[in-house]
Parts: sequence; C-alpha cells; structure tokens
Amino acid sequence: MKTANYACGSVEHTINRRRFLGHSVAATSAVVAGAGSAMVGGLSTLATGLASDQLRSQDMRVVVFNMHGGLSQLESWDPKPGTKTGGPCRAIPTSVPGVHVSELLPNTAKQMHHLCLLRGVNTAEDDHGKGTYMMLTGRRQTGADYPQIGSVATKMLHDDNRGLPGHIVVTPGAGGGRGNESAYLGPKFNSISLGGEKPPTNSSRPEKITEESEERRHDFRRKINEQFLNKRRTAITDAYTHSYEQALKLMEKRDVFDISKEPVSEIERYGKHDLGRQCLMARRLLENGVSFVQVTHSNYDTHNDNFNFHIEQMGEFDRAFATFIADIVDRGMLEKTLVVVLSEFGRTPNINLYYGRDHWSKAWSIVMAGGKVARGAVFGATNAEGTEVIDGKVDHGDLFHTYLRAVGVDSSQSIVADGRELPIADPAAKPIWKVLT
Amino acid sequence: MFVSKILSQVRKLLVLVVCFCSWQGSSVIAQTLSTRIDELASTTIPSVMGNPASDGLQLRRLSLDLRLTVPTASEMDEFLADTRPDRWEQWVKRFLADPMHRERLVDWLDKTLMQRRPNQHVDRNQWIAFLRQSVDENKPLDQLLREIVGSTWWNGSQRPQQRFFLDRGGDAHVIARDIGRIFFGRDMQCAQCHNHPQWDDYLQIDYHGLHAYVSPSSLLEGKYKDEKGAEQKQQLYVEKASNDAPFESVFEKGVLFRSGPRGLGEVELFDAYKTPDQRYQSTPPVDAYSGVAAPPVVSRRTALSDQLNGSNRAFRENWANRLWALMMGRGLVHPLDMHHAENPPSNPELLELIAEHFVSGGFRISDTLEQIALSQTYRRSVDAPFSLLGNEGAIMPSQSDTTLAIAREVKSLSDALESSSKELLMQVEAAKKRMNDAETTWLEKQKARVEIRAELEKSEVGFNEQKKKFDESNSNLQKARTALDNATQKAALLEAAAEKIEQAKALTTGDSNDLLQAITTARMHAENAKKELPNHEKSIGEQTAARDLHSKNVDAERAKLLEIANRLAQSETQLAASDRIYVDARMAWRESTAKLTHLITKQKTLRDINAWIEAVNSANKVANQVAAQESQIANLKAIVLNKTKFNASHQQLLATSRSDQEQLSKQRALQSQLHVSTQKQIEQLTETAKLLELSANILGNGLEIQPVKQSIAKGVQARSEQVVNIEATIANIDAQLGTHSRNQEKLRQDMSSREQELLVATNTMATLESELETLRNAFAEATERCNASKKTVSENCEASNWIAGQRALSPEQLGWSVLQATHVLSNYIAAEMTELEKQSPPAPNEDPSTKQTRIAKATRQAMDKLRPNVDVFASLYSSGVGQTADEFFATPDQALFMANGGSVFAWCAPSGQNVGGRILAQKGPLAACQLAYRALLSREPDSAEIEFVTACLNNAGEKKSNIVQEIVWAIVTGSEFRIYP
Repeated sequence: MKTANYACGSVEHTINRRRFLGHSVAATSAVVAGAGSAMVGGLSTLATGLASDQLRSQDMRVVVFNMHGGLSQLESWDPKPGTKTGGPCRAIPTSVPGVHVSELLPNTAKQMHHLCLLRGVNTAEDDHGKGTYMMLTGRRQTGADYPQIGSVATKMLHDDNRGLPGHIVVTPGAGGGRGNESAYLGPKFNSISLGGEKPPTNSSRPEKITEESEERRHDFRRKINEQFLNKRRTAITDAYTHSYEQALKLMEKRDVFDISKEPVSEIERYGKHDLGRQCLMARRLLENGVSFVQVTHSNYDTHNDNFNFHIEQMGEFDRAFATFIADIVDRGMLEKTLVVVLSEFGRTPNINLYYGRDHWSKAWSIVMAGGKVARGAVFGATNAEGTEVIDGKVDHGDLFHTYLRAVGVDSSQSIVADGRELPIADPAAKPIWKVLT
Repeated sequence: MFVSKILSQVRKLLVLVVCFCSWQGSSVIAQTLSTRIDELASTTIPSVMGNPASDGLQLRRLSLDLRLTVPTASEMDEFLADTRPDRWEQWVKRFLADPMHRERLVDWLDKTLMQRRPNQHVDRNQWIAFLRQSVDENKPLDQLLREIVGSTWWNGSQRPQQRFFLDRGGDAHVIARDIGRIFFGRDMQCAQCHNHPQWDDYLQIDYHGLHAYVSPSSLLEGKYKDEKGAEQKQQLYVEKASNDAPFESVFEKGVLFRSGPRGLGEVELFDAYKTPDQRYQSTPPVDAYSGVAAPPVVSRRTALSDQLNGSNRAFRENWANRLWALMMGRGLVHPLDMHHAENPPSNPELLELIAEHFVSGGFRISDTLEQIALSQTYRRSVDAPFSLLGNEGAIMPSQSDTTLAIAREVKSLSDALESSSKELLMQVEAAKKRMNDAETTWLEKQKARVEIRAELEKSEVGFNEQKKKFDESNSNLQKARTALDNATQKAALLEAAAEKIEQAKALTTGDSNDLLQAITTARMHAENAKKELPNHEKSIGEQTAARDLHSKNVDAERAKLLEIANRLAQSETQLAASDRIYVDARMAWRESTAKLTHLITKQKTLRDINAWIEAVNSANKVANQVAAQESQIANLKAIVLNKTKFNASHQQLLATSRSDQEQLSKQRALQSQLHVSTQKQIEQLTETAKLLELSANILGNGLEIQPVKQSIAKGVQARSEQVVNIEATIANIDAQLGTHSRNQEKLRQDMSSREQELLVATNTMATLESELETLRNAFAEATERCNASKKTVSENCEASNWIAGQRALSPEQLGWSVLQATHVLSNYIAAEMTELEKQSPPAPNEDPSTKQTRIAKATRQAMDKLRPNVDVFASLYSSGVGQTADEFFATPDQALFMANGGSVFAWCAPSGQNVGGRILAQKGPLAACQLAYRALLSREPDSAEIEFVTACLNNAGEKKSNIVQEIVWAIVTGSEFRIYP
C-alpha cells in the first residue's frame, strides 16, 4: 500500500486524501442518496425496489450475529439426533434437500437455500474472552492488539459521505458511546454503539438552540473556517471540517435509528423482543448505508439446563433471523451483504450432570450467507457423535480471511500503521475458497 | 548580600549575551543546549529553513506545550506589549513556573506510562497523586521510573507505583512489550516468536531478555493484614523466583534457547545458581504486610530497575527523544517506539546531544524542555518559506542565480556524502561479518548452556523429591518429639493433679470416695502415659535415623546440583564472554548501519531538493514553450485577419468595377442605337434630296427647290457630325470597358493568391494549436510533479526540523484550551482561590511564595473539578488504550459533541469577563473582532475577517448576545483552533 503523502506522514492522511479525491464520486452519489432518503423511516417497505437498486450500485456490507456465551452446534446447525450426544432435539429437513438442522430452527430451515453452514470449525480455545477475540479478529491474543472484523470491514468498505457511521454495534443495554475494536487502524474505525435501540449520542439539536441559531452558527463556522482554509489547508483541517458536515448529515438521518417509524406489523414479524427489534434495526441500518452492523444475542453459556435454554433462545433467534434473511433477500441486498452467525465456541457433545453442555471449541459450526458465499451449501463435517471434525477443518484465521473475501476485499493485503506494515488477516491462515463463488 | 547581588547581575548579563547569540545563530558562546540545537538543526542549503512563527502563535505554541492550554487573552495582550529584549526567555520561565506546567508534566507522564489504560486495581487518583508529588519534588525522571519498577507488592505505601504492572493485568508479555516501548523506545513485539524478518537488530533473544525481567511476576490475590490489622484481599503483583523457560523460533523449531534478563543493547545477566530450597527469603521484609508471600532472594525487578539510568544508551536516547517529541510533536526517531538501525534518528548528533544534556543535568525534565523552548528551531513556522523557489500553486519566475546556488550547494553536499557513504557501506559489511561470526560462536556457547540447564533442571526433580522426603521425615520427627513431650507433660500433670486432690481430700470431712477414685484414675492415667514414653522415644530414634538418612540424600542431591551448577557457571562465563563480543559486534553493526541509513536519508533529502529544482526548471521550460507557442499563434492569427480583410476589400473593388462595367455597356448600347438611327436619318434625307432633284428635273419649271435642298443638306451635315460624335463616344466607352476587364482580372488574381496564403496560415495555426494543447498538458503534469516534489521536500524539511511539523492538539490540549479560551477554567480557579482565602485569610504581609502555593492549589482543585469534561474530550479524540501517541482523526461523534453535547456551546455564551462578555463590552465592531481573534486564536484578524465579523455584529440588532455566542462557538469549532499554531 502507498504510504502517506501529507507532511506529517500519518496513515490518517492517506485515508483522508483518498476520501477527498473521492469527493467527486460522492457528489454524484449524493443525488442518488437524495432519492434514497425516501427510505428513511416507515417508507422503507414502500421503497423496496428503489432501495435494492441503490444498494446494488454501492459497496458491500457485513452483519455479524454474535451468539454470546457459546451457541450449541448440536441444538442448531449440526444436530446429531439419536446418538448419545444428540440430546432430545430432532433434526428437520430444510429448503436444501439432504441438509438437516435442529428442529429449533423451523423458520431458518426454510431459508437454508440462502445459507452456507460451516460444520468443521476448530478453534482450540475454550475461554470466553479469548474465543471471542479470536473469532472477531482472526488472531490469537498476544501483547499487541488486532482490529476486529467490524473495524477492518468499515475501513475497507465504508464511504464517509453516506451520512451514517460505518461501524455500528447494536447492544441491548444502555450504551451510546464509542467502542474499542479498531486497534492500530485508529479510533475512527471504532464502533458507535446504539444502546437500547437509541440513536447515537448527541445526534439531536439541544432544545435550547433555536433552528435559526443552529443554522446561523454553522454558517458562521463555515465562513470563518473557510477564511482560514484559504491560508492554510492541510489534510487535518480538511478532515476536521468534513467531520462537522458529516455530523449534520447524521442528524438529518437520525430517523434511521428510530424503529418506532416502522409499522407495528413489521416489529411483530421480527418478534417483540430485544433481538427482534435489533434485527429490524440492523436491516434499517444496512439499507441506509451502514457498512458493518453487529447484533449480539445473549446468553448461550448453558452449563446447566442446556436444552430448555436453547429452546427459549433459539425461539427468539429463529424468527428474527429468518425474517431478516427473507427481508434482505426480498430487497435484493443479499449479494451485497455478508451475514455471519458466530460464537466464541460451541458446546460439548457430552451432556453433563446438570443437563448442560460445557465449552467446546474442537468441533463446532458457524453460518455465513450473502456476498460471494455459496448458497445452500454445507462445508465440513463432524463425526457421528460430533466429537471431532472429519472434513473441512477451519479455524478463526481462515474464517476471517473468508469474511473479507466474501465482500470482495483482498485479505492478503497489508496496511501501514504507525510505520509498521501489518497484514489485515493472519498470513498463516487462508481463505476457504470452496465456500466462495 | 552584596556579592549575591553582583552575581545575579552577572547572571542576567550572561542570559542576555547568550540569548543574543542564540538569536544570531552564532556559536561565540555555544554553551547552552538551545544554541547547539540550532546549530545541529539547520542547513547550509538556502531557502529551506522556516522563518520564525508570528509572535502570538509562538506564545500559543509555548503555552500549549508547557501548560496544555492556549494563552489567555490578557496574557496575549501582555506578551505583545512586552518590549524587554529577553522577552522570550522571560515567558519561557514564566510558563515553566506556572502551576499548569506541573499538570502538563503529570499528564505527559500519565499518558506515556499508562497509555490511557483504565483503572483495574489501583485508583487513578492515587496514581495521579504519586505523579503530582514526584513533579512537585522535581524528581529526576530516572528515579521516578526506578521507583515504579522497583516498587514492592508487600508494601502498601508503594501501591500507586505498582499501577504500571497491576493495570496491565500483570501479563508478562504485555509488560515486557511496554517496557521495551516505553522505557527503551523499542517495540519488540514482533520478536516474540522469531527474529524480526526485516530488521536485523530486533532479535528474539532481546524480547526474551526483556521478558525475563518480568516473567517471574504475576497477579495473585493476596490476603494480608493492613496497617490497622484488618484483613484485606487484593490483587498483588507478586514476584516469584525466576525460572527462564526455554523458547524456540517458529522459523527454526527444535533449536532451544534460554535467556536471563537482558537490557536492550546490553549483555545477558546471569544469576548465581541457587538450589530450589534457597530461592526465597526466609523472613518477610520489615515493611511487609503480614501474611504476604516471601519475596525471592534475587529480584528480577530490582535487576530491571538497575538498568534504568544514564549509562543505558537505549534508555537515555528514548527519553531524550520523548522530550523532543513533547515539544516538537514528532520524535527525532519516529514513531517513538521504533528505534532500530533502519529507522535511525533524523539527527543522531542532536539526539545524543539532548540525551547527554538530560543525563548530565540529572534527568530534570523541565530543564531540557526549557532549552528546547529557547531554541530558534522550536520557534520556526509550520510554513516552509521556499521564498526563492516560488510559492504554493504558482510556478516561480525563472531565477537561475538562486536555483543555481541551491543546486551547487546540494551538489557539493551530495558529493561529500557519496564518498563517505561508500566507505560506510564497506564498514557496514565488515561489521555485519563480525556480527555473524560472533553470533556463530555465541550460538555454540548458548547451546552448551541450554543443555546444562536442562540437565540441572532434570536433577532438580531428584533434589526436590529427596527434599520432600526429608521435609516429611523432619516433620514426622517433630511430631514424634511433640508426642513424647505431650506424654511426659501429661504424666506430670496427672501426677500433680493426683497430688492436689490428695491434699484436697485431706481437708475433706465425710465421704470422699469420689476423690479417692479420682486420685486412682489420675494415677492410673499417669502410669499409662509413662508406659508410652519408651515407645515415643523409640519412634524419635527411628525418625531421627530416617531424617538423617534423608538429610544425607538431600546433601548428595545438593552436591550433584552444585556440581552441575558449577559446570553451568563455567559455561555461562564462556557464554558471557562470547555474548560481550556478540553484543559489541551488534552495536558496532547497528551504529554503522544507522549512520549509513542516515546518510542515505540525507542524500535522499538532497536529491529531493534537486529533483524539486529540476521539476521547477522543467515546468518553467514548458511554461516558456507554452508562452512562445501562444505568441506564435497570436501572430499567425493577426496575419490571417489581415489577409482576410484585404480580400474583403478586393471583393468590394471587383463588385464596383463590375457594376461600372454594366453601366458602361448600357450606355454603349444606347449610343449604338443612336448611331444607327442617325445613319438612317441621313440616308432618308439624302434619298429625299435625290427625289426632290428628280422631281424638279421632270417638272423643270419654276419650282423653287433650292432652299429645301439647302435645308436637307444642312440636316445631313448636322447628322453626319452627330454620327462622328457618337462613334467617338462608343470608342471611349469601349476603352473604359477594356480597362475594367483588365482591372478585374488583376483583382481576381490577387485574391486567389491571398486565399492560398490564408489556407496555409490556417493549417499552420491548427497544428500549432494542437501542439499547444499537448504543451499545456505537459505543463499541468510538470506542475503536478513540482507540487509532489515540493511536498516531499516539505516532509523532509519537517523531518529535519527545518520547519515545524503540522499536527493537531492532543485531546487534553483541546479540552483544556476550550475551557481556557471560554474563560471557564479561569473562573473555576478564581472560585477556588476565593474559597481558599475564605478558609484561611491571607496575612497582610504575606510572603509571595505563600500566594504562589495557594494559586497552585487552587489551579489543581479547579482542574480536578473540570477533569470530567476533559475526560470526555479524551474519550472522543484520543487514539485509545495502548497507543504510543494520539494520532489525529476526525469523526462525526466528535463534531456532534462539540455541537450538541456537553456544554461547549453554553461555555461560549457571553458572561462577565469571558471572551463573549468582553466582546459585547467593546465599543466598535473592529475592536470586538480583534479581541475575539486575539483571545481565541492568538492572532490579529485579517481584513476579510474584520469585514465578516463587523457585518455580523452590525446586523445583530437585539440578538447581539446570541450572535456573539455563535461567533465564539464558530471560532472554537473551526480548524484553526484544532491544529497546532
């Protein structure tokens, strides 16, 4: 990669420079965005055709469903009914002949022809924190920190001129600040978190400031700033100035974050619970130009009473997820949107004394869909009792490469940060070409 | 008294002399660091050194660097009005004495050492209090760092210092990496698993050498009694006896290494061998909490703290570099934690100079900062002057003398470098060979050591087994002894009891059978106990024998260990000798490589300047070609125009001639007709005359025809004359017609030839124009090359400190500056002062230092109260946890905060003595505008800015207060406020 060209030599400048060089492109797409603004809020369902046209002309996106705590592969993607490890749940056929999933996923089973199951995951790490880190960064934890998939995807895919942040984490609880996922990519690529489905912090004009005053102060700011820029203009001043205009754009698009603009029927389709609302939010964000969204579903750490917990949790997930997939397929967004369902690890085939399953990272499953990922496919397999991968063994590093390739990013490239050249994905791992089309 | 007065006068004079010299850049008294800095950070190449920044901006920079905030409006006024010749020196001193300077140092130490890590185990306030106390004491930096590294977990009063380790989770890899980065300026992370693939001096053994300092330490939950005796549970960073585990390179599996502690660029340290039972102190240290684990006899942390002094080159250069970066925004080595042979300092001499100054001055941070601030280098503008080489955007007018002068200078410098770089290259190669040879020997010795260490560790297993048996038998013996003691004592007690009861019985009247029974029972038990005694004695004998046996075994194992340890020590002596050679060879190679790289960089700098001059020259050449082409085209255009005009006039003439010709032809036709009719009349008259004669002859008589005849003859005569006239007229017309025809022919010929010429000219013009298009493109490209080249030169100038770097304020600088510029900070300090004075009213003749102390206290309290606001800035504008430095970036959430969040807009509202309030109080808009720019941006407004602000204020009407608030906000949120002056 080309190193920075600005006086101070920071990587930031290269990025900014590219953005400014990209300005003319942005100007044209602003026209499109103008038309697209009809998608904001409740009109989105009416504007489906327009939305899909627009999205096709734009960059790729990524959504990650993080099944926090460790989803049981046996009660989801890789059931082993009738074996001593299988537990009480049956397997059901799916829309892809010959492929079966757990009966806890009846709606998702109907969407199977859009999905790709990877049943040979072996990450060899049974610690929650370390496992999560590995699955999200594609690396083992060492003294230095690596950026998460959200930050890498945002850096590679997002265009600042879309008016919305590139990297959003939807969290169930409070929140609203900036995350800390970007490591050496720099804080610009950290997430903005939307706690309790609320819009980003400070995104509305305070009541004390009148509309007139708001317009005037920004007008003053522009004019006073321009006067200075005439004398001294650098990458720093440009980027700084631009951030205020981005902020104003975000304020204009604030309704995107308000799911009460959706008809009640829409909310019902997804399910009236946190995950349902979050999936609907994810759809709205992706439709409106956010490049990366992460939704977390908690908590699958079922050391006790694994089956009842999974019946309850999968019930929520199945409906929300299947609806999400169906909706983005309907909108023609699936080719441009990589969907990943992951966990920090799976759960033991062995059922413990408390009818629970423990941490298990040697043979488990994840799901991918969309982008360049093969549809209706299954890659990898475990043995009859699910205790070992017998085919298509992959690890977190391979998966990370594959996520990037699935959205058209060359995962073998490096970026230069702080004078160091750093490969964006672990050079020791490689993409799983067989699941990519 | 008198002497001291004289001395102080002399000192003042000296300051003046020195500062005069520094202004002149002369080295008459090249004693101060600042003048040496200027000597080293300048160049003989004309036109590439920056001019001093404007006065106001210099003060703004100084204030930001030394105090974290922009200067206040009144400071600005005072500074600009200050006419003292040593004004700058005075203000540097003033800011260094400012309470905010201490906070600046605390902020720098905190961020440098903790890199914005969140609190985990140590309250941040305690940590800050420790740093503040250190700064207040003007504690030397090396001492401060030794206090941190050498702090102990068993001593509660040293817990704040332990934050460095505790809040890194005690993770040895994280801590080893950060010690490398923060203390020695080298991020050795890449070398954890193998030697660095690209940089020959980032070795795996260096990483593991650092790691060995901290690998024996980790977090343990400790239960201990605090000073008050209460039981506490806390994570403690506990050190155990070291056990340097073997490691291997992922590139070369199976070749095992071991490393004891090794400072970067230093030799490995070898601990004297201790058998496993002798590794911990037997009694806790005096200041220990009761109940904490005993510390090891040999502490690696003490060993590390021994490395932190001026004799360690990596250490001193790292801190010199960091101090430079604190003031200049960029290290002489940059990034700050990337000191290695291929990233040498941009100015090695300068770095060494500052390092020497810092070390010999006793690691006093502010002393070195002061010297940097006093240099001209510090005060240079961010704008490259390049005055002789034309300004931004414009291609310079050809100034061959100047460019030639530069080119000459560049060439002579470049030639000088060329020959020395060849020599250096040979040195580097020789050094590399020596290094490789030394490595081979070292590897052999290292292998021997690894083998003996493995043998030793294997034997330790046997030792430990025997030791365990010995401990068991020893404990059995103790038990047997206790049993004997117990039995003896029991018998004695029972007998004594029987005795007592007997005495009691003697005093008893009446029935005492129960007592008798008790006596019997007691005696019986005593007898039984006595009977057991020989058994116990026997057991003691057996256990003693067993213990002695085990003791012998232990001794035998110990002897074995010591024998191996002896061999290990010998092997280590050999290893140490080869290590010394290896390390020296590495250092020599590193130095020569660094020199070479630096030379290459210098050459590149020169080449870049040359390339720029060439680019400018070639752009100028193309510009000249463009101009020549343009003038040629203009000439041609004029010619074409001329000829076109000429032909147009010919056309006119031709037309006139043609119409004249037509007129003449018409006239001629009329004359011809007249000629014919006159001839006819003559013929008729002649005929009539003949007929008349004939008639008279026939009639013959008397007819008088004569008059008629005469009259006819007259008529004929007249008409004949007319005919002659007509014929003459016709001849005349014919002559005219002929002339016209000839003229026309000529005109046509002329026109035709001109048309030919026009065609040629037009074609030429088209060719020229298309050439011009090409030339113009070439010019655009040449301009592009010029700009690119100029940018490179700017970057080089910045890296060489010939111009100041372009950078943004740190999050803390931004936060405190917003608070300062809006007067919020001053208000808070004033409020704290009032409060303090209320608590203890100042004495009428108060010592000025007492007041200073109070101001310092009030400042600290005010800043503590406002810190949550600055923390918000930090959370939005900082590069986050664990980063070496805050890189600039801009995101919408920052802008949303400035616009809608927090209180920034509210702070901008006019009130009292704040900038808005003072703007409102100004009489005219001009004064208001000047005040705003001076207070908020430390400069005078330009005419356009005055015009704009004046218009805003004049149109404000009743909303003036709102408008002022909006203007203040607009300036504070503008780019200029965000960047370094």
